[in-house]
Amino acid sequence: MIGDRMISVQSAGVAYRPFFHGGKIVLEEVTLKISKSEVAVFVGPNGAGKTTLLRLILGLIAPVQGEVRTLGFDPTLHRPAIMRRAGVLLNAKRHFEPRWTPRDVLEFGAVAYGVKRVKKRIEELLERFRLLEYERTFVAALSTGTYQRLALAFTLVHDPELWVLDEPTLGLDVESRKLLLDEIQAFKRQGKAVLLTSHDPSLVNQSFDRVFFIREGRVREERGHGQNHYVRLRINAPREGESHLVVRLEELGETIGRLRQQGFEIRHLESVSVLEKGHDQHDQVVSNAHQDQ
Amino acid sequence: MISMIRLFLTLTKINNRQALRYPLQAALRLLASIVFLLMFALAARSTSKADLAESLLATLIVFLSIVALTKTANLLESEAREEVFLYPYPIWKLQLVRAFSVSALSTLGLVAVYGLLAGSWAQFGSAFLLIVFAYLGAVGLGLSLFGLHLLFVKTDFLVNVVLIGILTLAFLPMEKAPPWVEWVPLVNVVRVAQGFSEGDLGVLIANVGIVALGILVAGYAEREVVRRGIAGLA
Repeated sequence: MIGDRMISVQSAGVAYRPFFHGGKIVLEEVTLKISKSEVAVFVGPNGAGKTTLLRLILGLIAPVQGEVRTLGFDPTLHRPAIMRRAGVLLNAKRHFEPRWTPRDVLEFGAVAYGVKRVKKRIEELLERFRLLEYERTFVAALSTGTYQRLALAFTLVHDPELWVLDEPTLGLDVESRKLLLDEIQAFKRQGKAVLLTSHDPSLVNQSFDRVFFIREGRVREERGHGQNHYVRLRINAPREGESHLVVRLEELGETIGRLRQQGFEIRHLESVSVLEKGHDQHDQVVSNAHQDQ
Repeated sequence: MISMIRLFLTLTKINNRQALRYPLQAALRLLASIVFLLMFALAARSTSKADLAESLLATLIVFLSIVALTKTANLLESEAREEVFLYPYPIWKLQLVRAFSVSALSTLGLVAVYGLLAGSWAQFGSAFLLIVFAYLGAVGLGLSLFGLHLLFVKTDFLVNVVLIGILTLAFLPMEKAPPWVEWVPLVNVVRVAQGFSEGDLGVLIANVGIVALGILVAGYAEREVVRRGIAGLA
């Protein structure tokens, strides 16, 4: 690591080049830096390249151009060293043996990642992620939310320095979501970094320090928390059908809650843009939406 | 190395803890394996000049080798394909540990049963050595197949072809086998077990070479899928 920097991506490009098929460029000229104690969020529409960027940072895919450093290592050459120090949830889930119990899963994880005091660590995680009452239940019998909490606990089993979460709120109920947000903040307070992708506007709103807007394989904008930037949501109005809504990012959670109460169906962040003169437009769109009601 | 042994012991413990949750099923499974082996050995004896003990050993070797090969080749379920890249080891190491741990107890059980039937320590000792060589050959082939699976994803058919080839060569009437069969991993061990070959040490050690080849293939596949951007993609 250079100083406080945990991740550095410089002019990186990524392409899929499978056997027997043509290649496809999926990321171009990506540059970003993430330091200790930062919570960084990648947002963007489906297929924009968010998960690919995580895979690049973790060494699951080699850049065709540019340079990547994660925790001080070249991830393509030193993926195992990075995995020793990073907790990773990709594609919103981990796959566990259905006939294992949460205790088995955590024991395997602890040993696989070289934890010294295995039993103590398992007890701690079972309690922190409210899994104690399910510790003897087969993984196959867990509810979606409990399974997801187990997956999150698994990623933290070796007390990593970097927490990488790809759509971590999928399947989580309100309480579990709060638990996740608390864990993210605790992680940050310890001087560690969190990197996540999300379609979940409320998560983006509540927990980020930096937002990277990714679209068509490029990082479009990067802004810190508290600055004026706006996101465009796709919503379904009860009578008018699909429309767009521009909202200031800091007010996103509150606005979404209000719209939901009024019967609007909120889609994911299908499209994101940053507007220089968006304040008026924001008010106008929200008030139009209210009139539609 | 110590961390891999620790992981092997933990995985074996967890797998067997699950098996012992259903003790009747575990006992019946072992019993069924023994009956199957005996019947297969009797059938094999009728097609060759080997006696029952030799046929039983040959059958046991083939049985354990097939288990070792399939567990090592272990075609990853689509949802777990990406996750093997998230551990702090080269993938082939993890795959080896998983394969060994899944088959460890059943292997020990069957070898112990053979030991009871073997009659003498000397016979058991030489049989055990053959089993080790065969196991290594199977694991080596399994690793190579695993590497191909990482690269090309859909390789179930190839694994089936290899298994059918091994079974066919192993239980052909061995007097009629062509000379090159001596060099086919696993099959050469079965020939020794059935008394058709002297057990040239060089030929047997070729099975160890197959492990090295398997590690090379799996390691190359791991690097290549990362380079091509297709690591873990189904």
